[in-house]
Amino acid sequence: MKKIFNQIGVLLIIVLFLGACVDLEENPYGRLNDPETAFESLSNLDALSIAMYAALRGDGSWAEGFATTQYMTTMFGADDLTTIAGGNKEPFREFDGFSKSASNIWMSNLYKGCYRAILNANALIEYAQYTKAQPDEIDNLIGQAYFVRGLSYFYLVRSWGEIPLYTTPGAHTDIELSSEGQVFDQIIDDFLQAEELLPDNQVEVGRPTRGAAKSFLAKAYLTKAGWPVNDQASYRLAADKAKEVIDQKEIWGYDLLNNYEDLWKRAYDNSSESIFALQYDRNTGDGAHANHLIGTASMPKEENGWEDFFCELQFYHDFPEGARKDATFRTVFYTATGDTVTFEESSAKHPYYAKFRDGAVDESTPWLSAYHTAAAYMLMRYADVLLIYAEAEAQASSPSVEAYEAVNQVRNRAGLSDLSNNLSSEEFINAVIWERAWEFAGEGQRWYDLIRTEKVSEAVTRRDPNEAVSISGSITSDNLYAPIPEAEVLKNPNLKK
Amino acid sequence: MKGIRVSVYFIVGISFLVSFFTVQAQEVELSGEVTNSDNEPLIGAHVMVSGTDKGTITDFMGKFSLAFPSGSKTITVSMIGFKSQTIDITSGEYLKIRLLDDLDVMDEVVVIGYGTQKKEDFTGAISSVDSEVFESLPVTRIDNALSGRAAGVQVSANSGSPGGDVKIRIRGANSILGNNQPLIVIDGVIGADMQLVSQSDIKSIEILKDASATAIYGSRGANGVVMITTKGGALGEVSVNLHSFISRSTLPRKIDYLSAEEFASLYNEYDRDVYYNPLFPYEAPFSDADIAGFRENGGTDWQDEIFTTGITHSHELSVSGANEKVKYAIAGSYLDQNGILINTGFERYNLRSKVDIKLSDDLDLGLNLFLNRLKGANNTDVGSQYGAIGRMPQWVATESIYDDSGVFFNNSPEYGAVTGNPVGIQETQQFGYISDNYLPSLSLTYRLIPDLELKLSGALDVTNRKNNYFNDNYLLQGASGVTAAGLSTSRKVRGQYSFIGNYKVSLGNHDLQFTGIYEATSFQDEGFGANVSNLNAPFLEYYNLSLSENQRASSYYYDEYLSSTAFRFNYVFNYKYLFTATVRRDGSSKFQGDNRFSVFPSAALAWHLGDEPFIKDLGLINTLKLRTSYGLTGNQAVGSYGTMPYFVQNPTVDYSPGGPFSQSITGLGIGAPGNLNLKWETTRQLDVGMEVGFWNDRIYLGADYYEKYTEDLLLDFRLPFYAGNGVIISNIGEVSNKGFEFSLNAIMIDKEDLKWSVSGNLSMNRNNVIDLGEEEEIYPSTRYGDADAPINIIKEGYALGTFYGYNYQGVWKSSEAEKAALYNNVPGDAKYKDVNEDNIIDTEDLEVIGSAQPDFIYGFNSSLSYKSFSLNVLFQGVQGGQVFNGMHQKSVGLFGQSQAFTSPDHYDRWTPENEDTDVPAFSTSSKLFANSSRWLEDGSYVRLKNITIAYNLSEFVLAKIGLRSMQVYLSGDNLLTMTKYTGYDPEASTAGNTSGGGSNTDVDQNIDTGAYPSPKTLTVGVRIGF
Repeated sequence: MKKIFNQIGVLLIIVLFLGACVDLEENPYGRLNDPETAFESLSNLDALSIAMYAALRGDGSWAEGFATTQYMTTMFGADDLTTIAGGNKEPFREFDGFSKSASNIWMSNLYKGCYRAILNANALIEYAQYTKAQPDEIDNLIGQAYFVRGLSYFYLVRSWGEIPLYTTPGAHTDIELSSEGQVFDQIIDDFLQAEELLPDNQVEVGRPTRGAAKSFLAKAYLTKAGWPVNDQASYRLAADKAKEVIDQKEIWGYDLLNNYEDLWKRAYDNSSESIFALQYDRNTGDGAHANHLIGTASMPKEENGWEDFFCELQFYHDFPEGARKDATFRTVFYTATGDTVTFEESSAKHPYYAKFRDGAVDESTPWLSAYHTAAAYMLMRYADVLLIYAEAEAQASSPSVEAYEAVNQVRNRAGLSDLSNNLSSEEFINAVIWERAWEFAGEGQRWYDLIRTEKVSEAVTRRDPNEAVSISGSITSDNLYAPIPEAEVLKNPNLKK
Repeated sequence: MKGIRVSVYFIVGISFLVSFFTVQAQEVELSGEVTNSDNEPLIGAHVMVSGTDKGTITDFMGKFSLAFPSGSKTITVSMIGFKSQTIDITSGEYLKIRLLDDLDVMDEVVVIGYGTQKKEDFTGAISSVDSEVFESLPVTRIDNALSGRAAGVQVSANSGSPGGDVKIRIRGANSILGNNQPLIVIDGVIGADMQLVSQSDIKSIEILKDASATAIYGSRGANGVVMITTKGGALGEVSVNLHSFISRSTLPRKIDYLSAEEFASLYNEYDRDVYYNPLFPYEAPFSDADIAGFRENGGTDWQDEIFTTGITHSHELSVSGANEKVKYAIAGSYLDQNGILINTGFERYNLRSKVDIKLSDDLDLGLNLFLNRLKGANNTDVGSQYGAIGRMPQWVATESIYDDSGVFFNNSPEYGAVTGNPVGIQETQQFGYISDNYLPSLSLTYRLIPDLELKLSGALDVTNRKNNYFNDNYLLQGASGVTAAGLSTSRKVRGQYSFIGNYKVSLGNHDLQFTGIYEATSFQDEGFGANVSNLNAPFLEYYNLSLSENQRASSYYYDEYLSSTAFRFNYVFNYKYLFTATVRRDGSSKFQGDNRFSVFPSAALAWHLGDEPFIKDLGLINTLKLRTSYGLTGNQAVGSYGTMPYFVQNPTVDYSPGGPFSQSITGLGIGAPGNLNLKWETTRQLDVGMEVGFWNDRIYLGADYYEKYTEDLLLDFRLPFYAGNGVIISNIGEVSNKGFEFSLNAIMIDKEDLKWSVSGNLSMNRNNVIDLGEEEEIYPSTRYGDADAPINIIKEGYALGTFYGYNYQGVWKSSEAEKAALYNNVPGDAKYKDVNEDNIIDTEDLEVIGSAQPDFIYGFNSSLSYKSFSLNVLFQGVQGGQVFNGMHQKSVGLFGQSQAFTSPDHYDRWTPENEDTDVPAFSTSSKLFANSSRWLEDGSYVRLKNITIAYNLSEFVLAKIGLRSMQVYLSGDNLLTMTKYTGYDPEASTAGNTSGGGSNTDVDQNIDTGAYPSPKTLTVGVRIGF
């Protein structure tokens, strides 16, 4: 018995021992590691494009992208944006008062969102070569990537000026800053590529069309023509490109909505006036995909709001009366006790924007509003194209009949009469820039218009001295751009301005 | 294929040894048994035929049989701790040999990697924690019970939550990126979970510290090794033991926050200071009537609302016994623990069986089986900065828990955005798990000749875990809330297969021992999860996920393999001079090419100086041992697939291009490129140690000095935001740890009725980042307390856990108005050090502001017994090291998402009349940084970790009630903590939480942004032996 045990034991030990050799190869099942195989399928290339939009959209932790008021942090120097004196709004106040720091928590949202979109767009453009699918399907995605990259750099260069610019995949850890001119050349190149590759129609409303590419191209030209690149020749290109959109608007179904007020209703999300909008949803429980700009953030204290942003008093007073003004502002607030308070008597003593409420606020009980909705957020609408055309045309030559027609379309819809038709070029241009201020109030446009037209100090001079946020920084051209976020400079000292 | 080649070499080697030592001559048979003075059999006693190399060791029953060359006259019988005897065998009769105790020898046997050794023959640095520790107090977690017990071992309860994790560091932290937890080995199974073992199961715990001891574990040994040996059966009657206790836990202390009335008045002052404008009519936010109302109604005391009394009970029952062939121990336990934070709890069910069967004289079979089930409710990550405790300091007492519509109050009209109602978080964010772990291990030991033992063992460690969550966000957030729920399961399988050959030989004064090991391990982890949101009905929770609006499924697979060979050689000359050499070669699937295999050698020398005549003659010192060791160990602080590029796949990259009402599409985002050149982190360690025993070792001192250098550190290089903020892992940098360890054991009184012994230990470790490759400093990604920049830095010349930020200098005084104006400040504003003196406080003014590393840590234990009573006291302390008090930062408020404040600090704020203060005035021009030295506090503490009074029933009473033994005890944990720290618990840290940005590394430590404090606990327990 003992012997048998021993024999079996020894045998077992030897057999098992020999069988115990282990293979040291790891098996990354389910992981995509190699771009060459990963992007063979169109679905994965499409998934990469999804990541690029998601980056712009932003996240529910309020730290990235366009999802929150924070995306406008760098734009608070404008007269259509200010905030309360106290509370947690210091990051907004820093920009409002022209005394900004590189450690500003909130300005990074736009920066991060745009760059993450660029990272994914760069990869898409590069890796599309591996995709096996119909050429037009691939081109559509590449076109979207060029569009998103152009759009992202467009926001970055307008908020930060000189920025790190790169267009290929990989870790560009030692990159240096590129000048505004270089960045604009890239933006225009990207929009041109997008114009070439994008189709006129997309199945999904959130994807850009050729019309969207042309519209942004026009806007990029217009901006490049102004401060700081001052490439005057671009006005002509801007006017022509905008004109193309206006003349062929039927192709993409663009037109102004009849009522300005409707633009801000959920029923009109992605309407005929919307040329490109970020899409939000409430598919996640934590609001990670939702739009946090609409609702509580834009509401007054009396209505239980967070008081993030509203316009400066002078801006409101200058705003021409009419349907557009009524739809733009909310001047009487309801309190939870059932009283009404006029904005003059309110805590912040400012009117609030009315644009950002539908879908989040039950107007009978506004103090119980939601702080996120699925509202689409327009980055380009047809009214913009009309006004780009009007301004660029006047800049490039003189205010033409078509230029008057374009601006008057916007004015008429706003409840205003036509511009008097004997304005000088300069008067006309100024009128259009003001028109843009009213039309896009609170939409993250005004600041960029002020800096490119060098009207920042004019706007600051007009400012009501009783504004709660005081101006402590200098209003000079070297203090208009946001500083590169401190965490970035720490990682790559080449980014120090 | 390399595995096979290695095994062939090994077989050839073994065969050679076998043939060498089995040369036979004409032989005679002899048998007998060896016992101690109490007539109990001695297992493992050496029986040697004098003048030959023939011999054997005694078996389970103390018996031996031996074939020896005819003509031999005597045998020598020896065993550690006993006096050797030489016995005449000429009669050839059955021998009954009784060995007498050798009082001169410390007769301890210690468990080392892949074997055991006499403590006196051991050359490495080791700390043994006596099983007595686990027999004398109530223990819910074994790792926590190691606190203060061993020199060089720092145990911190980062989370006091039930089942919460414990951080153990042996001689400091080697790795920046990696987990610095030591390797846990339970009965030879590497990487097993300590939760498998309950306190009564423990026979011994050994902590291997130096390279000589740990290098046998090669690539996993760098952080030290905790070896747990469980109890088996012992000869004698069947023994049945029961241990039960019940305890009551409470919050260690309450923090002083503003009452509703105080806040309302103070907020009025704030509002007036900030908003008052003589041009406009001004009205205070809180009317006198409001304030009177608060005075009457009191408001909400959030601490009282979220903390409660936690009741814990634990029951352990074990049965053990043995006969000549079989030894067995079967034990079961149940632990039900309720936390001091509402809705947190933990349950553990353990079942264990250890059976050793003697199949024949040469062949042993062992089966060791562990089963356990862990059930948790909201107990993981509950101390994260976004958890209930972390949110609480932003919640002022004027807020009610619910609003009028029954929804958790979640947005304050008076103070801007406030989210995360603390009670709401605990009531609506439900997370639970059930984890079933089974770990069978089987071993077959064959003694080819008495001194050549071959052991084959295999273990399978399987953990099946289910996680579920339900977030009733509609209840938490009202209209904005979208309910969410999910279910996920995972299956982790760890296989271990070892072949160990062990040969001992004594040649006169030369004792040699060879150990050879081949070991293969594998680990696979796979799982799937389903997450949904917008449930059709909240009461469905996670039980019917398909009835919901949005659904998402995911799955994953992960694997890693390790193939290793190792050898150890021990040599003892004349019982005085000891030498050990080990080497291990590990191959890992995680690395590619030449980096796949690495060799980890070590060597150690020891000298029993006390046995040299010139010391012996002093008559004072009876033990004096000097030892030194040097060697390499590794740390594979990186997961699999690190050599490959990766893509990001999670909800943050999903998008719904179809518009607001469409489903979102799963995105695939760019992560970061891979690094093909990854390799192991390697730690070089030098150890010099000394052990001295006086007066028959009644006073026993140990001292060690060590130096560790960890090279090729695996570091996360986090790309800048502009490059996507992805992570690339690279081998850069070097970290060193140097330190002293002292331990003392003293038997003060040793009388029949009165016994008193004390022990203490003190360790100091100096951690230093020597090199970071091309970088001089690296910024961790974790953000705490509303800061946009990290509060920590990894910087050459500084320790891990160094704090980095703005250097707070108090407030600008009235006399400094002119200077303050340069910074756009006015008197009363916060003042920070302008490091580069450019009159702007910005990134360039960030500097090192403190360190979490303690100067030294210590423990002191006293055991006193008088007749039937015993008193056990354990003090444990940490001296030095700062804590980032994020709770304080949040309570001072006016920050981040919160306009509220709850801290009474503001009473002491600067005013023209109160210049002598460090608290800034209410001012919009005052800058408030979360990453500032203002929030650092001294984290030193000394704590009465445990005090236990026990009463053992006398034998007389026991005989009457028919019990073998019975003890009742009263015990208190953390009853007293002396510290200057103003938070709940200087030991708790948010850093260990994986959610809310916390990491498991040592880069961020001592960060209290809502960590779960260790409770104050009172326990009553009983132990009964049947």
